[in-house]
Amino acid sequence: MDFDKLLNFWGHHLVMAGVWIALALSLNLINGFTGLFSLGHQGFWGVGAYVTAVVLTVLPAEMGWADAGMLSFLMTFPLAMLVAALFGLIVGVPCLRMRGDYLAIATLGFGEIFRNIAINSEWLGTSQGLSVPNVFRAFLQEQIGLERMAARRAEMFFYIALSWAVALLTLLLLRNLMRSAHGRAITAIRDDETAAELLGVNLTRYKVLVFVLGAALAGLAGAVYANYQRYVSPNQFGFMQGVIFLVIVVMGGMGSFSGTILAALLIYAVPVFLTFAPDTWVIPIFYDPTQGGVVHRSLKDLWQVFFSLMLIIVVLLRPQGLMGNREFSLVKLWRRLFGKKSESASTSGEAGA
Amino acid sequence: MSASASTTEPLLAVKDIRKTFGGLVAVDDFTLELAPGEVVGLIGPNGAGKTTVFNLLTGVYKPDAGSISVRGVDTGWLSPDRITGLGIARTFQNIRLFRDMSVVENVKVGFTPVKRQSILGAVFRSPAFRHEEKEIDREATELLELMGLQDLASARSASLAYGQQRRLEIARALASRPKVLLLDEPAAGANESESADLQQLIRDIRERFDLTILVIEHDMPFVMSLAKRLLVLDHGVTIAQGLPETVREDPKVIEAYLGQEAHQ
Repeated sequence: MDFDKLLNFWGHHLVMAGVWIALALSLNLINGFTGLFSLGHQGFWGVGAYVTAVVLTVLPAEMGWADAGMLSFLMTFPLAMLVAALFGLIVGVPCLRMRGDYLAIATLGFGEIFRNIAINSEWLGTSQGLSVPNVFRAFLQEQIGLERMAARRAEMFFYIALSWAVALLTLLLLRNLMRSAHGRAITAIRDDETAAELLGVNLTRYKVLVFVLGAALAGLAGAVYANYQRYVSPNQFGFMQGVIFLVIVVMGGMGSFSGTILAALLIYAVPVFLTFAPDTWVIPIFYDPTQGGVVHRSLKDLWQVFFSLMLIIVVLLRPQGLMGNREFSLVKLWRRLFGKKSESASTSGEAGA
Repeated sequence: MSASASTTEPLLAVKDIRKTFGGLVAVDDFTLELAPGEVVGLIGPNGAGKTTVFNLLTGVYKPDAGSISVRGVDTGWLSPDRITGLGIARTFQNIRLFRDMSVVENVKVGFTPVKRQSILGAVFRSPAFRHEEKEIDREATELLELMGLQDLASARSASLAYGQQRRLEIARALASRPKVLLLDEPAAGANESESADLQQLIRDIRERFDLTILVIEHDMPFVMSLAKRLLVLDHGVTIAQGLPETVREDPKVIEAYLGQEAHQ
């Protein structure tokens, strides 16, 4: 295989894996660290993506502006964050009076309302979606003067770097937040809402903060996605996509950054690697006499089966998720492998409660 | 100190509060004034409404009638976190520590009303933020030392022994630098020597932090030696109050306790 084919294939998956990690991390802030049950994360992601398409496609056409340039391109990222944060606020404030399942239904409602508005709005391209111009490539070719092939490669490298930079930014921002008084207040809310409030934690403030911040970060990932994919349509942001993000968070561990990253990579990579399975690798699926007996399917088409299997295994063996609420740390790993048994072994002094 | 106490307004003024749950009157016409530095005991048989009083004072419940003011501020419809911010802190009868957090982190949550951090400062690790975190670290460690829990600082709070959990709750409550401390059965489950230690501890923190304390307790010797004044609740009604010695002799109090024991 030549270099460009490899770059196209692996580059695409690297970009998408970065986007998934960023989305799963911000969802973990809401669902894992704070213990709110949101099913609307794909909606905030979609808002960010649509804002990008509107800024780069719809607005220039409607307003009769010149084609979108680098400035508009750069503006899509903060604008996507801002608008998604605004939606986070609009959805968050009334929804946070609800608890548990009710909040899940309400946020799910938001995701579906957003999708249906996009489907039914001419302005947003109905179910056809909107295409997004390749502003960055045009910039590379016209302003920098790169050849077409060189520009294509540079563009791919740029998006790989961008998506992983956004994932890293999300990680650092959330990690720093959680390692502060705000993080302790958020954890306290998850553990015992009433006790947290009686210790002076303003519940509404923190829940809204978490919702708005989570939405803004999802919006940012949406802008990266839309610019990279150069196309947005309602069914990219459907409920099932949100469920996959939720599964990543649950599988990685509610309240673990490293677990989320691990699970996002795992769940993203399994279908990718399954596409390499040779066609001769088949497993029997069901019995149908009209099709001549036992019907076989190629492993390639069965990634959803693996997806379910992985989830079943994790839930059975590690219901707290791969990492629970712990973080991966090289120092701890070193101590565990080479260190002596130390104070970490908890002295059990549990009297009858 | 006693001279100033008579001239200042009460730290906590509760006037004729009433709370009903459906047809049940949990607290009826409860009135209480706490002067600075006082230690008052709230006693009564099980189900008398003592914890309900605590829940009313801290804003978990809102009274159906009557008024509560903390340091001159009417707590009317203030949320519990705002009321805590006025300088009132409590422990819980059924321990409510944050189980998944470490011992020292539990205490650190207690600093919420007094140590405000900016979110941007936290995200970007500003010098002011790092200074603040160091201070919280130091003060939390001090509180743990005071409670004799310093060696368990990084243990998971749920792994502590019962008495240690109760002391951790006190440390956590003290972190918000309260003026009024509400203790809900601090000696529950303690044996005689533990109970004596706890008494000394409560005297110490009262001195050190200039506290006014309202304590619910079933352990009579404990509360009688600690409190200068007792209030006795039965079925939500204040049936007696005054000096421990007088209250102990009160026929109504004897009947409330003996009557209850007779039913058991």
